[in-house]
Amino acid sequence: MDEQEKMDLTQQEAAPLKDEVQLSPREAAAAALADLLYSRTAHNKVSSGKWICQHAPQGVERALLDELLTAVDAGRGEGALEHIAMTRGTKDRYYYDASIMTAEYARLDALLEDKDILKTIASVTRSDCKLYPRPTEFSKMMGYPFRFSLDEVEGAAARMQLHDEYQDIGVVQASNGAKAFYSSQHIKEGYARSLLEASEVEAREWP
Amino acid sequence: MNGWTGKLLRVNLTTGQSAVESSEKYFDYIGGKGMANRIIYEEVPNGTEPTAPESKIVMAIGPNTGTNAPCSGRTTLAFLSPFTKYNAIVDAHVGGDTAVMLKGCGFDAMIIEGVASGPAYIKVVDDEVSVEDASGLWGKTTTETTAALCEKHGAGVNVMSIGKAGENLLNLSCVISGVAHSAGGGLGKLFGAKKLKAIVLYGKKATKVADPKRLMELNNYIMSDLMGANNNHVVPTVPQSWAQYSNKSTRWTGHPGLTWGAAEGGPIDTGESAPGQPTLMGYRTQKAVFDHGPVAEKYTVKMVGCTSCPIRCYGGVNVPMLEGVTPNTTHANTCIGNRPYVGLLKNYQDVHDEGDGKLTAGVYSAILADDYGLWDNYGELNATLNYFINNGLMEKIMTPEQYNEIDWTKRDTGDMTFIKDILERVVDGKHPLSTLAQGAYYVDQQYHDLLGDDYLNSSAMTLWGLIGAKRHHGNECAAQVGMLTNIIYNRDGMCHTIVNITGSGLPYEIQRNIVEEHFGEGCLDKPRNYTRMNEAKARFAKFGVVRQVLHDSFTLCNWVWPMTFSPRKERGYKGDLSAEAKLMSAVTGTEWTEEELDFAAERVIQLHRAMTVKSVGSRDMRNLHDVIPEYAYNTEPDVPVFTEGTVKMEKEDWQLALGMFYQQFGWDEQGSPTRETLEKFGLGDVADDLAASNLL
Repeated sequence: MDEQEKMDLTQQEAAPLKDEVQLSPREAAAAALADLLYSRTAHNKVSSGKWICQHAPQGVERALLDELLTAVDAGRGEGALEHIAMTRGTKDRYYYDASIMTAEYARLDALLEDKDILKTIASVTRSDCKLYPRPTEFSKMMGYPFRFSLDEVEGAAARMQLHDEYQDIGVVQASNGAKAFYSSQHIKEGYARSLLEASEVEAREWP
Repeated sequence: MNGWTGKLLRVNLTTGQSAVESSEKYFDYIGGKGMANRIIYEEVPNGTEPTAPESKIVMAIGPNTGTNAPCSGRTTLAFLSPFTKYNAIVDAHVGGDTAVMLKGCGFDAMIIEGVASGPAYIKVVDDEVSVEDASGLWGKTTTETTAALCEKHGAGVNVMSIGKAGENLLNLSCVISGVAHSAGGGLGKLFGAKKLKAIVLYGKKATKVADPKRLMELNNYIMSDLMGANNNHVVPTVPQSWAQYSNKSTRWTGHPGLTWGAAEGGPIDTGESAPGQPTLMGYRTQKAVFDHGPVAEKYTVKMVGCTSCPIRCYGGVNVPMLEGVTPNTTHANTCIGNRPYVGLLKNYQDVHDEGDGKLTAGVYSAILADDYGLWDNYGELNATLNYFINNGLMEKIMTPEQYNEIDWTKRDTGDMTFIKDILERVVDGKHPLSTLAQGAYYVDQQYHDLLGDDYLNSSAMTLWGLIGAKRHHGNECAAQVGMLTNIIYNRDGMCHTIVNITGSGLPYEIQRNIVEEHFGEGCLDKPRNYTRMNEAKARFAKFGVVRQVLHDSFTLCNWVWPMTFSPRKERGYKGDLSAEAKLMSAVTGTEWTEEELDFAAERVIQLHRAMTVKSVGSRDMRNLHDVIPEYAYNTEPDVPVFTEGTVKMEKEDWQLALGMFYQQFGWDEQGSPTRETLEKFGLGDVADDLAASNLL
């Protein structure tokens, strides 16, 4: 940096910022909350209402926090909260910055935050079978971001048979022993087995 | 001149002389495959034996080669197939840095002709061309050869070499560029027949680009907005915060928590690499884990790949369990080349973790195969070996002494040295096991009394055609569309245009909606839930092969291109099929439309088909060439055709599919090009040639 550049920089630092805007307490609270949620979202995590209250930005009263979050719930996030969205879980409401996280991922992380493995597996399976279509491999539920153990997944498969709300969820097996869930609401068992065989066996043999 | 160099190099191994000629008369064929095919057509008489002295090898690149366009580092080598029926023209495609080095030497193509009097290698360093003595290299592995020539000529040179498989004239032999990139199709045998052990290339000339600024802008656009991961899979394998979709089957394997576990300096997390982050693209494809399974993570050093490619689809691993077993413990390869003969074992011996036995055996077999220069033919050789073992045929083709020399119990116990026991006999050239590396058609010819009609028609072999070519993304991929793309090449159909779409990871509805905009309603069936043939499917199949041929001519990598889809939600996941034409325009300075470039690529297909008709010696391609095996009609016997859960085909429908496909190309009902079609593409001389042979 030459002398002229240093002088220019000093003058810039000394000069008042023409565009500096004084935020109202409400706007400042919204900005602080948005920063907090952006930070969590950037680490691939949604934030529950409970967690937000426990980690509320300094100086932001609970009542104001509730007001701001309620506005987000209604799809009217104020100011800096414009990009913040909410997805509703079983146990709480979950917030995230929609500018860097998709609604699909947020819903998934909310399921994980709810810590209900049966609902998580059923939700993912129904979505996979309806949307793609495809069965949901056990190995998928054991990988990122689910990270359930094989025992947990096998146990969930057994427990689901005892719940009325999961009677559409079945299990198919490929010739290499790989297992997957499928939802009879969306695909038939034979089709699910065929798709699993294709992805687990044939696609590996002929990549 | 922009893009092309305007020069081709002719090297005569018989005389040791070389000559430089103009390549301009071949520009209508774009370059690469197109240029190489035309040269073979003009210079190698029909009916020439692939290994005869008159047979030639043409190695060619295109106007895009040597630019920094993403995935432009491919080379095509054209020659007569030694391993499929009719010995018609085939192409081998290879990555690494061969292409950019040939361009750097100032050539669009190199014609290799004649036969050397003894082992030789061709050295091209900039403008200096010579044929050198390779006596000291004959018998050495491809790794040893590469190391020796790099030591002699400098570490920066590109070395293409053959191993024992090529030297011993096996049909299923390849040429290895560097120590892993393979040019298959039986090319190793042609090198061996010419006593050509290796080619050394080193060139520093730049590729002239008409509009560098436009090219740079295009590159940024392509990498930011269009490219995903390997095979242009645009959806990550696991849910990621930026992604709307995920799909376990894709090659966008990188994600938070998955590392290059053996990276220098410690594990490197592959993390999230959302669209719009070109500098992170190299982390998207963790190919060692994709190919070998999760256990490969901790052995992964990094991903590697070809010149000008941001994808990096080669999984570079260091497997300490191979210490003392192989000359070195590191290897890099991709896809089936990562584990070509691991299927010879029934079990695997784990050492530290579950699955590391299979990984070790896979890398072991890859190192052996690459060192031998043994071509697996997309798994065909492995399938043939297993077919003979599983059907008790090994005892019948070997003497009792030969059979008892092999410890067959190793196969059951998972002792990976069984793979070497088999492969070293395969590459021997004289052992009966060598006869199994002739390619399926010639194996059937030799052993038909043992095999009957079952072998070629078997689902264990999964050929696309009775000419002995392996299915490569056939009916299991988009039904008739995939199978139709296979019939074009006289070898396994190395067309990835279609499978890149079906394997993209996007939900079916999104895939279908996008491709239907281009090819019409009904062009893409649901996976394993097929419908009958229709015109839209024929258009889609034609697009598949036209773009594949375009890529191998231009050159671009068809394992990634075309950009049918995008990873960007805001684009509706639509890619840009005009991207190749935009690159062509920026590089050459002549404006090309998508249609014009496709037309030029189709010219190459028309020429190739006419050459194939000449090799077959009949216009009846439908019944002599484009014949698929019985397994395709009989798979999943309990599931009716055209219902959920089967990829089977129906005979009548396949004939309909062929007819529609032929119509798309302007071929007659027998699948042969007409004069009108050939003349439309400026191939009147080829039409005259066919007419003179009563083939028009």
